[in-house]
Amino acid sequence: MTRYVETFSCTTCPSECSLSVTADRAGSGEPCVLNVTGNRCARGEAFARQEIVRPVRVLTTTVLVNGGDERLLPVRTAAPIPRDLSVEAMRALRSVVVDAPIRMGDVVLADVLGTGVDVIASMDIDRA
Amino acid sequence: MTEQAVLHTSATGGAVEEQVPSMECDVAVIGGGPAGMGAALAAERAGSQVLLIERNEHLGGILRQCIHPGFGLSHFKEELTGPEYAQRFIDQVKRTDIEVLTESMVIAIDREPDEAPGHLLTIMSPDGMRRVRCGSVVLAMGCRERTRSEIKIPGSRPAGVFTAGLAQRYLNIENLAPGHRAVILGSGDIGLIMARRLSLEGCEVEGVYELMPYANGLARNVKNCLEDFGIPLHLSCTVTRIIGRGRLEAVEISQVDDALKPISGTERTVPCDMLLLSVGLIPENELACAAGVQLDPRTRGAAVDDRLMTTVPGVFSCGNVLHVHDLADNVTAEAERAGAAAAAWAAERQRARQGGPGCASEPDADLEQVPLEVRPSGLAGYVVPARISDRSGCRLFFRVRKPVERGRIRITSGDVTLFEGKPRPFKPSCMESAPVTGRMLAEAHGEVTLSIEEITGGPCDDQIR
Repeated sequence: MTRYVETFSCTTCPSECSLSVTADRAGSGEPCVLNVTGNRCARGEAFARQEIVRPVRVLTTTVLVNGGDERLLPVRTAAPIPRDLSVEAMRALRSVVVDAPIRMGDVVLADVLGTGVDVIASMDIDRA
Repeated sequence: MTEQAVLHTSATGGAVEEQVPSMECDVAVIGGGPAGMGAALAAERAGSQVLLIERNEHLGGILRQCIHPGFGLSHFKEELTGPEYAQRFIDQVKRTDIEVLTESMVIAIDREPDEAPGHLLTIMSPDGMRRVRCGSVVLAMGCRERTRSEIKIPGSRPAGVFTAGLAQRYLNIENLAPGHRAVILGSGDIGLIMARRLSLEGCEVEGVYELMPYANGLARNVKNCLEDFGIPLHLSCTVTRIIGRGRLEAVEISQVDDALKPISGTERTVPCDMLLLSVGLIPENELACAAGVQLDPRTRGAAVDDRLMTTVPGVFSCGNVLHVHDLADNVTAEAERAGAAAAAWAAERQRARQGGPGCASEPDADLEQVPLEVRPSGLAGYVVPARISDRSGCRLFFRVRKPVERGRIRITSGDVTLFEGKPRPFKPSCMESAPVTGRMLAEAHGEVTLSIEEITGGPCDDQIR
């Protein structure tokens, strides 16, 4: 069992609280968070715990558009997905082509990599 | 809004019939990004007839290419991407009677004689020239990136040297890859965001080099854009030579000393085929200057009063054309104030005109006291507004010139301290604000100074206070 402390900035809001997390790790198992300090709200604590166990991020990129008044559609994961899936998710999105018109929130790729999270349109694109 | 050919007094003084189409409105907003849309919506809510003029094909401004999340946390209470933040405002604009002119660029703002609505805009569009008469104008043109020529990097002039925002446009709007191996100079937010974006798209990002001994972008961007991708951030370094014929082949990196001068003997050559510059933004004020608007040399935006009115009566300014913001939400909040103030001005002007020629002077000019001059001091790099006319209180927006662990806001007028804050950290990456109340301003004479003072003593200072 190794006890360690990690310090990093909270990224959930512009306050940028400096977080300090104490955790135990046994071998290669999942770390166990003992305590979080430096956060000024509950979201900060939840973020710190998630960050130690398995960081998650909202992934954003673009996909090609057919027949639109823009070449590319900006897209996002509707919710954060594990950061370690970013590269694979990018690969899955590279071949996606959508047809205009598109409305913000339209699902571009459902349940990306079995995460249960959809990739959705960030913006409207009209027909050319 | 009416469209007609009008009698216009030419520069030579004679009345000539022109075939230039003309429109009238209460408030004309120049720029359709977050600032312009926020101002237009606020002016419309205040009862004005609003015209929103955008140079590009679509509304949204720079947010269309800022595809990353981090927007809307304060305005919408949820985390949105830039395009989502823009789309919500575009949808709001569509639901109103705001008239939108896209692919239209304002090339001049002229003042009209007293009996006319106030301002005359000259606009170019694919259909040709048109003129707009309006009671007030909101400047919301945003800012521009500083370029290689502004930081004077020596060397050859190959392709592959881009401002970070231009590379962002290539990648996110035009579907063009700017290169394969990047060096990023400057740790501003756009540079950090581009480091992540290029990495996700399969480009190699060799590193980010920052002249200052600290990162210039938001902490969340350093973490999410560099640390997540293992991209090194080299502080106190700069690019001292650009190498390559035709295409960029490498850059020379040097460490800098405390005076930010390159240290001879520390040079190393880093092969790369793109150099992205994220070295600051400059408010885009050519149009404003031509209209006679005075700039604040510190912000390079207009010197405004507490209503966000420039030195040209009836011309207001907000968003990145006024001072560079780090959060779109702050732009929206400022733009809403500018829009409401511009609507109030236009309405007042309209009332004055209807009241007869004798009332056509500037609205409530005689009601106002001499404005208080507002100045930055200490570590405060600038303060907006530059003048306070309304003594009932307002907010002072500022940014520090360097980070401090323990600093304190002090607002003074002459020898009188009006306000003193608690010790806390300040960072140049965060624009901040401090309120000045009517009670504080009652004690002010002539000027108000906002100062950020570094506290060097121990933490026991707190208890003594």
